[in-house]
Amino acid sequence: MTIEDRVRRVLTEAVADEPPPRGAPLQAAIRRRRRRPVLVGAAALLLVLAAVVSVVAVRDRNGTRPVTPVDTTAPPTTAPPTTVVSTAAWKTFTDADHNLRLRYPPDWVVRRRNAEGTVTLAPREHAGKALARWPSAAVTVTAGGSYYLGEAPEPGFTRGRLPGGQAYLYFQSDPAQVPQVQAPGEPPVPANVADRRRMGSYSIDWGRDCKGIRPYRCGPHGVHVTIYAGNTSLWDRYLPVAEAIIRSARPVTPTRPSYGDRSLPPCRPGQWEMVWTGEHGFAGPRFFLSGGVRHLGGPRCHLRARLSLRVEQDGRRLPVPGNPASRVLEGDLPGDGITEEGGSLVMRGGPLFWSFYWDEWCNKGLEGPTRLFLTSTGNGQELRIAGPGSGPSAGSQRCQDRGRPSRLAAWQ
Amino acid sequence: MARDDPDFLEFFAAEFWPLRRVGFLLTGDWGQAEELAQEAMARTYAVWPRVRGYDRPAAFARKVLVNRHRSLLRRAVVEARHLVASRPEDSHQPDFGGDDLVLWQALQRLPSRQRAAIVLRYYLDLPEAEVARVLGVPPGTVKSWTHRGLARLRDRLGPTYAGERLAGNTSTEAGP
Repeated sequence: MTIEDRVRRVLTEAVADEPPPRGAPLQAAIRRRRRRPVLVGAAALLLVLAAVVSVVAVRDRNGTRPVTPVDTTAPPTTAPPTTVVSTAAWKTFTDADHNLRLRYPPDWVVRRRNAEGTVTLAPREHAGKALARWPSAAVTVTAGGSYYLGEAPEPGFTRGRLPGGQAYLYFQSDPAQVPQVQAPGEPPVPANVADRRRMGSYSIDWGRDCKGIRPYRCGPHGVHVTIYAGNTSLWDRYLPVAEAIIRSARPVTPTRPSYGDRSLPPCRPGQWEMVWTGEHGFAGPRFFLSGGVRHLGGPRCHLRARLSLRVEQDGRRLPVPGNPASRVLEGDLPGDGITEEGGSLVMRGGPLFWSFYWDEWCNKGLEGPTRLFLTSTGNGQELRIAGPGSGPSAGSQRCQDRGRPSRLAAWQ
Repeated sequence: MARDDPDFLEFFAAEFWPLRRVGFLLTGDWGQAEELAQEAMARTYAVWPRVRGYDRPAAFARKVLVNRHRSLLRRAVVEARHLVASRPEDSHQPDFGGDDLVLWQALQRLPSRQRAAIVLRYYLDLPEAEVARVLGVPPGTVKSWTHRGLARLRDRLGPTYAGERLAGNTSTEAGP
């Protein structure tokens, strides 16, 4: 018997004696979908979302309104926006377990809060549908979740900072891009773009603490917020209030910065190494590499190092904007480093997680094998990685020149 | 509502259990497998209006499951949930002995990408191209991971497979 046949047999037999499920699987899946719309549908949602709410947050901080994607296909709204003149009379919502406090208008209601750190708020006139699969107008806030930067640098993000200084990523849906496929039991997708649902999603850096989703983990956490609206008119009407609610969010007890403890001794070169876990992928025309840092030994230390990625072809730097790309990593070791469990490298999200991406990597003029060189200051390490157009992926179906500029960048 | 959606109900009934089994082979833990399968189903449900039109909606759910497993950030969350929900029966393990036990334990110790490639290739019998699509890597990388994974397993099994060569699996180029 060959090793392949033996593996087949062992794998088949391993699942032959299958234990019963812990609960009702369908109900559990549906409940999960309803209860944690941000966590469960995040990736799918984030791909469909684009950016608006960040506008007011950054405007308040900088005094200027940032450039954000605007749905130019939607006709002008006729509903008057709800303006926020003062928040002095607003109510306060506090969830000490998840270290979240926010304020909301007296004509909004808290429709649900659960033990997993999610609270749903809605205007009183839309409260009846706030917990529906697609609320007509609502804001859900989940505190104490994973670090705000995910592993995959999906296109379509905008960045900013809340008035409290917390960095965030923002996505906003483009109703013009909603697939016109009718779901069972649901109304058809309106032909008029302005009548389609709208969503926006924030992922906010909440700093370090030992609170959050159980079991509590001391480390960097994120707050994830989604704004729902049944159509563009409702979106325009309630967006200013939703933004004001998000801007009001504060930790109940102060958190420490996500970058870690700068009072620790600096990590020595022999104490750490960059690790490319082999994680890479494609998000549309974007190729990305991800990895982390491994603690090699010694006492707790604080790491601050610059990572640089360059792309070469035939021994020369490829003339792509952003090449080489660089970023600074800063965090604590061993806490923020990769761990090894059962022969696998396990990386929990945090500030020592790194990712670089290369957009439109196979435009004309970029053909041929490329090699990526990832270098770090501090320990002089260099990793050599085959490029996306090299070897097996040459001629991949993803490879096409779409007439958009190629660009190399760091995800941070 | 999914409860009123016969297409999704049918899909769920047919695909939840195979997903859960793949989850077990990837994690070696039925509790985590159930979490992964439910997560995959929940995410499939979230985009069901689009996915139901695919030729193979199950391939989408499978990819979600593998990605969730691969996603180290998300895995931490899954582990956290599992710690909360775990019960004694979650330690349910296959009753292997002898070389099969050695092989099973060696499979569990493989790096996650190699294990995933082997599970998809030899448990689901997916062609390399399909495994590559599920894992989001080029076929050559799948070939390389499979090759390395089998080589490790062969080493663990000792003399029985020491002289065996893998026909057609000669690529060892690392990277994408």
